[in-house]
Amino acid sequence: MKNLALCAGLALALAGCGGKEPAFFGKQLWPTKSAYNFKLTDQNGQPLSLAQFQGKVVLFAFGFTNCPSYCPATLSHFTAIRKALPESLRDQVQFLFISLDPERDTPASLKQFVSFYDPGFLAATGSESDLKMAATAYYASYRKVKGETNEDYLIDHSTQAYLINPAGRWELYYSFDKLAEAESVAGDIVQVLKAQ
Amino acid sequence: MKLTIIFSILIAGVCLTAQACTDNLEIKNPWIVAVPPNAKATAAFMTITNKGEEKLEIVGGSCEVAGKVEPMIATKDGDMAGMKTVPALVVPPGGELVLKPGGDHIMLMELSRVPKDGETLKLTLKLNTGCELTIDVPVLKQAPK
Repeated sequence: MKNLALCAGLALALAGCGGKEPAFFGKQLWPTKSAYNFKLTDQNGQPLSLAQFQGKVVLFAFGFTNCPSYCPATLSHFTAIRKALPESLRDQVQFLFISLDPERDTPASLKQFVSFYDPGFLAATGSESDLKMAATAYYASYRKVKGETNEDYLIDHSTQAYLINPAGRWELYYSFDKLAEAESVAGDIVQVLKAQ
Repeated sequence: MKLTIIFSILIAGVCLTAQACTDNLEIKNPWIVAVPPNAKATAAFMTITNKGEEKLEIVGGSCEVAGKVEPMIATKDGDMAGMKTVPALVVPPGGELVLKPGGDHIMLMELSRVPKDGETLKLTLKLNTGCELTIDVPVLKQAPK
């Protein structure tokens, strides 16, 4: 009887502590935050806003197509994450690459870049001010680094990926290293989709 | 006949010297990142082990598809990541240097053509000792497992 009471107490305590907040592999925003609705232009020259993906999970990252190390790896991780998802859920997730380099990243170059990884991935960019607002809203930073010529610059940038849930709330984010764990990130996405 | 023998001895000597000066170097899991057709650069990654007692430095290299091959390090400023060219990547004596996405790497620039996913390229690493080591490197979208 005493044991039963102890078990019931423990169960109540666990429910109280952890019942509301599910354990995720990614870093969780708790409470979740209303996701900034960026308005950009996609790789087909069409307007793209975060709000149009309401009802889906959106996983996005900032970068630029001339980025030789982080960005190709990020897109490869996106591919691996998509593959790790149950087939039935893949259409409920939108992967998005936001270019911080509107000067060089035309819709055509964005198209070549993302379609190399997956035909369903989207890429978008916007005006300097739109990009600044989007980056600031997700606590991301970036700056141009001069190269040998004017066209030869690189862009230092935050390398996290951001997960927006189907209700349009920013729920999780991933460091570059964590994003490489495709199975675990896919597990988070499944959990987020099931919770809706 | 005499000339052929002398020439053969000379060639063998050059090969032995080239091999001997990179004997302490071991390369594991090299790969070049497969990048989209409009990419202007790509990166090579690998683990380099130095079995010797002297530090070794990778000071540059060459590759059939790149006009320029340079050692680069990853930089961090707050959460902003970047990269910069350095004179050399150092492999400590008895230690190893891990080149990986998001970290230090060998940058392949001025691409004459974009390496194709699945092909194998010859990459030559130049050491501070003047030695060169040429390795076969697969072009892959993701790190080899």
